[in-house]
Amino acid sequence: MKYLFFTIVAVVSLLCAAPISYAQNLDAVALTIDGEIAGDGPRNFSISELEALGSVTIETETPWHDGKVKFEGVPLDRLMEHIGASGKTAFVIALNNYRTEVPISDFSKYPVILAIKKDGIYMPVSDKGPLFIIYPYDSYDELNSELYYSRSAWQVRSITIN
Amino acid sequence: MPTAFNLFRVIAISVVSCLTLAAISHHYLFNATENVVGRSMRHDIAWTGTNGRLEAAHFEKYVARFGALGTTKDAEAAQLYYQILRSRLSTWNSGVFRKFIESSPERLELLNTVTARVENLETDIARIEMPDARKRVLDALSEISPVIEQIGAETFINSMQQSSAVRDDLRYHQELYYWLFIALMLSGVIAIVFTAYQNRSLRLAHLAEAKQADKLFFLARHDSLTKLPNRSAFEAAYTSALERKTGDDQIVIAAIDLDGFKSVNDLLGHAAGDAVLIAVSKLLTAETLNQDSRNVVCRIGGDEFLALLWMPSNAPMSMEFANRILKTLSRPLETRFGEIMIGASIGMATSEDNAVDDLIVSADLALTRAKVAGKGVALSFQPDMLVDLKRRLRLEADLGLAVAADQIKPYYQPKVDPSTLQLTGLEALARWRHPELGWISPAEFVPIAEGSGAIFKIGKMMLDAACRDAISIPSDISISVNLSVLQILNDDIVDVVKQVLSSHRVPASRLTLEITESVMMTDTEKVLDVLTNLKKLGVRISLDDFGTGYSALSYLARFNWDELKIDRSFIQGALCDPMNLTIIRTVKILAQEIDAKLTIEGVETHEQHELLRGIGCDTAQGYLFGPPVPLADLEPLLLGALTGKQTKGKDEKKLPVDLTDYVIAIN
Repeated sequence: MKYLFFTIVAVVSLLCAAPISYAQNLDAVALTIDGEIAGDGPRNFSISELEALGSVTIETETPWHDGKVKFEGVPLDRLMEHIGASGKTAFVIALNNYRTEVPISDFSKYPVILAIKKDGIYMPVSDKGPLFIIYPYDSYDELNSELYYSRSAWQVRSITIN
Repeated sequence: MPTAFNLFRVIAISVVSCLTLAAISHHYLFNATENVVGRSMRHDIAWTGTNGRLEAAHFEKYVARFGALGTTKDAEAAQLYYQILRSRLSTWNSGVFRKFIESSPERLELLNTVTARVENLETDIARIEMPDARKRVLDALSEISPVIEQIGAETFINSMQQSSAVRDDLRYHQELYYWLFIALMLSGVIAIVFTAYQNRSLRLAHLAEAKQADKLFFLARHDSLTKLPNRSAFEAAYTSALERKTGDDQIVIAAIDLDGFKSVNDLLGHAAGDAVLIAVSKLLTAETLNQDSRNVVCRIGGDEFLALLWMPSNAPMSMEFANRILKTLSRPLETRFGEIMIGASIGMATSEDNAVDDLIVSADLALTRAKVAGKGVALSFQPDMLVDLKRRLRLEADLGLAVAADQIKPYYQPKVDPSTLQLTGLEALARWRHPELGWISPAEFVPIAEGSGAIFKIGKMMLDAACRDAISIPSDISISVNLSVLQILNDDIVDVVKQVLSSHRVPASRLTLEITESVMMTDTEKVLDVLTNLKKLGVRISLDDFGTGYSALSYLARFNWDELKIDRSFIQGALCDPMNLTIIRTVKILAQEIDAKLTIEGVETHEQHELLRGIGCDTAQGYLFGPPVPLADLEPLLLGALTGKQTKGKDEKKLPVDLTDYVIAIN
């Protein structure tokens, strides 16, 4: 929790410093992953660190946007590989306390990404940022269902692998 | 059947249409259900709506806490939730949720207002630690929150309505599926029922066909009139009977021929003839089956029947059986034409007779013999019948050559005046001396010659020979020649007679043509016509064998006969039965009336001669006065005749010829 707190403080101070701008601190901790992963204890990632893992693009329609939207982000299976996830389920918690469970098999089955940018711009909290789990809905019919929509968490803050 | 067939076609087409319709309906229903299920899986806006309510509540809570407690953490949380709420409102203004909002203009206006109010709070949120800013935020929230609550609640209601619609659609589809299922089941049942019906029709048609085939098979093996087996069926039964026969059985074949059937046909018509055949068939079937159920009776054509009889071995039952049949058939037959009398002749052959080769042929031979023997009798096959048959075939083969080889010659029998014993005429009789078989009686070869057509040659030869011989016979002695029925019915007989007479220059008055009474039975009009033409030539016409056949006295009235020859049986029976003499006397009176001469045939004894003298007939003929002899042997008689003329009244009882001479001559 102290990391969370730290992050919030960082975010808030940033917002205080530049209240009009939504410019984000790309080096602040944005995501914490814990649970059954390699190494001791949780891992923290800044937006920059996540981007460093390599980005892919998904262009798709969603129920929450008008028209096609272009998302860029790190493929989740690559992220899982990176952290050495050995569990079966990713328990995802969002800033708004939204919680969901995603089978890790989804990440290999579909090119699911943890989106960082929407239409080339980093996503602020007010636009479902900073991290958004995006499935390639247009490419797979079965993804256009309530089940996958519920797994598509926005404002992602932490992931616990179990 | 055509109506049923059309009905079936209509039903079959209906069932197929029904099935096609059901398949199409199923396809659309399936797609519609898929759509409904898809709808049920679509993004549920209630979720977005509810979370919006929570986020607004959290935001308000953190602003209020910060105001109450002044904790930095709450300030930061309030600022975060402000961003989160803005994110939520942006979601509400996009995509699926936006469509829901736009479905109600009031709702759209409310949301637009709320969104604007929230965006306007940005400055105050940044300065949240300032009490006036905080107050403005809380004031705004007191207006914003109910709207968010309301829209959130409406999404929930909308979601419930949509779920309900989905459920209703699904239930409706389920009901359609149910009726579709019922329709399919009914189609199936109708198809099965009509298939069964069609199968039944086919089965009935098949049965009818089989029945027809049975009928045709029956017709092929049976006589259509009497329903008795026909010849081929009988022969099959006969063959199988011979195979099945054990030492305890004997097979008897009886050939049965009706007597007088032709008369029934001629006098009563063919329908009556058919009725007789049917009645006889029933009687024969009853009699034979009564004797043994394995027995078979068949009709082989006309009025001929064959019976196959099973009898115990070594039991001479066949004759008893045959006589029982004769007795049964001699009773009047009950027919729809009334009672008809008929008789039958039977020939039989049994498998126990070693001499018998083919039972049917042997029975037939015995039948032939039975008919010759006088009808109404039953005869068993005897080996000599086969000899007769062979002899008959031999004679038939040899007869054609006999005339050319001069084997057949005329013999002459004297005709005398019984009171003066004066020779008045000679009857030319054909005699055949076969080079190997010896003398063949005319009674034997004439029927054969009539059957083979040789009778024309023989008849012409006899006429020719008689006319030639007439030249060397005193002119006051007439010459008689017999004409057979076939000769008379043949068109050129008048020309033949005329030509023969002229070629030998014999006056027609010297020739007498004799025809038998039976000739008159064939074609009376034609015979009378021919006889009239012959008589015009000047020849004399004599009615031979008078009194034996179906003597119809009308013949006597319709033709001007020159001579009546009363059959030999009358004079020969005259001594035993005076009735015969009475008949002869009567015929004598009759002859006088029609101006014909009366000739008595078959006079063999002095007693008979004495009787004749009492009656006073014109001419007599018989062995007493001389048998038939060759012309050369007649010379003493001709001399005697001349002598008789010269010694007339000298010794009336003296016979002109010694009989024994002639007997020796013909043997």
